[in-house]
Amino acid sequence: MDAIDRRRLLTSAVLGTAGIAGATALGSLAPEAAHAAPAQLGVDPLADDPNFAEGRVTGIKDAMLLVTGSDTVLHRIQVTSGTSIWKLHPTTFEAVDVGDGLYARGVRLGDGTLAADSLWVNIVSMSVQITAIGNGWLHLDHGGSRVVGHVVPGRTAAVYRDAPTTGDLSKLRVGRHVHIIGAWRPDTNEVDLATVYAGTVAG
Amino acid sequence: MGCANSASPAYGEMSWFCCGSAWGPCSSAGGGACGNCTSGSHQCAWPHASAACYSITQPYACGHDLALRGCGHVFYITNQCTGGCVSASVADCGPNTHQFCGEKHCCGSTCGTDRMIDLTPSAFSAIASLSSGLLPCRIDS
Amino acid sequence: MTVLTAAQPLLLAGVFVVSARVKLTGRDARRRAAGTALARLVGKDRAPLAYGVVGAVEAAAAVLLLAGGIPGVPHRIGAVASVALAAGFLGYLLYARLFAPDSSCGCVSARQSPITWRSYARAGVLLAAALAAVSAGTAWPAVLAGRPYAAVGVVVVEGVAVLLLSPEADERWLFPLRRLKTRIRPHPLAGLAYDLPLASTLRQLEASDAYRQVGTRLRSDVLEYWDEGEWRIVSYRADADATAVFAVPRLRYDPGAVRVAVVDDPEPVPV
Repeated sequence: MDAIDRRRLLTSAVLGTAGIAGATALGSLAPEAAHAAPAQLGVDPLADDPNFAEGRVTGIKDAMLLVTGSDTVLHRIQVTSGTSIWKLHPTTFEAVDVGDGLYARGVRLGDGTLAADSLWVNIVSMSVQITAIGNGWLHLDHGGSRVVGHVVPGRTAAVYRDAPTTGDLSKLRVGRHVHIIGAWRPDTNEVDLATVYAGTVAG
Repeated sequence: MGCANSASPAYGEMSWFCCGSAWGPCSSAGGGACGNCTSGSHQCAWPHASAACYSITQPYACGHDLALRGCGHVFYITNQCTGGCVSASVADCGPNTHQFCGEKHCCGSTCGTDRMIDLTPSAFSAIASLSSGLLPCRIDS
Repeated sequence: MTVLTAAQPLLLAGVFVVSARVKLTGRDARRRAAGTALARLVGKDRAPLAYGVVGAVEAAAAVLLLAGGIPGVPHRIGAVASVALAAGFLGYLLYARLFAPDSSCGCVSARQSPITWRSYARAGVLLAAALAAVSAGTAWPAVLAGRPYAAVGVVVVEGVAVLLLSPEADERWLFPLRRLKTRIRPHPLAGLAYDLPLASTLRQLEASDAYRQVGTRLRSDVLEYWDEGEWRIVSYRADADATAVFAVPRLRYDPGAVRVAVVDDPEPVPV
């Protein structure tokens, strides 16, 4: 089944339109009822979470990422067709480069490999203050150091108070404290902005 | 003690931050106010981790009276958008609540107002996606 | 030249008064001293006390500077104290640069500000002013009485220079100026050609009942997304070898309309 067929199948499964036969072949299931009690994860808060890894990509071999943790521990991370890969936006394995930083969550296998469910490549989350706004960029103060945030048209979004997220960044103001999610450009002080949470927009 | 079952929970927004040895712009983050914070452990930053911390984060400026919970205290944090819950121990001071007074995010009729807690990437990613930066949460002791 | 040198005590006294006021009266600022390079120098516990002592010394120097013209008080004594203080500041900054590069300056305001070239330039200006004050042949009240406009002019120009070199003051003058610019001229980020960002779709999705129903079953972040007429389709890996697929309204905000299906899907294969 190629990618187009797969998309058509999933589309019809959720919208219940033409092509039901395909969806039935996959066996469409009704979503389970919401969990009555919150599902708690049994990890000792002080121990390292075995199903999580972080670090810089030092090698790529077939579907395996070799990642050196910031604590110098070496991780082998296996990527499958069911692994989501975020690098400013959902992307594919080809977009991952040596030198990228990442966070990974998945299942630790017996041989120590992490079978990844999700990869977040170069992702950063920072509370910053906007110090200047220019054509396509924001200068941000992050605890005293300057970070340049690049606006990527069509990708960068802003959240103002509790309003729906928008691509309109024209309400951002110099001096405002905002929280950003972005993709770091390795070994620079620059990030491509994914979302700017501008909680307050007065002034 | 546990997920979403204490008598006096706190409600607000949660986010994530990096600490300990790390890559990228947060490589200078250090071990946090408690000295033992690492991105790979389930830890969190709490605005009232100490008196000095409280005077920096100033949640009272947004009308919140948060309990003093020092280094090592274990919170149970529930993602209000899914019901997923994770435990995390206090390891740093933050977020700077007063800088974001009035900020609000909702999932259906459940809302979280004001920045209340920051989780390490391993704790946050256990109950939410790192690419959703701010989410409403419930915090139990 | 006389005016230039003799007016310096006024500038120095002004700067020291502002700086001392923050250090002595701001309780939060003293607590925050733990985050400055001073903490590295004298230890975290002693930093607030040391911070207060520096403030007291600054206040004393300001008094000596202003008292410089009163009969019985040598008019250079304040200037000499200022040279010592200014040299001390410069030394402190160099020390911080070498041994605590990530810390805040803790210089003249309660606002956290990093140590940059502006901090050095400001300390340099103060040291130069202090040295000029030492070389002055007359006390400041005499010059102020003789050539008031020139003396005030010198102090104002230098005061503005110190302000421009103070990152702590940016929020008072630089940010409002930049805000004004975006008010007068079109906002630099207005009118960007943008499609609907995925982040917008996902925020709506997270707010929906459909998402809450299957939220804890999701194992991955977004696998794929595509547009289908008025819908944006978003898929996730779910537990039990399944794929969760959502349809989110693309052009309106209506979380109640979000639909979900969980579809059996074979074991993922290596990419």
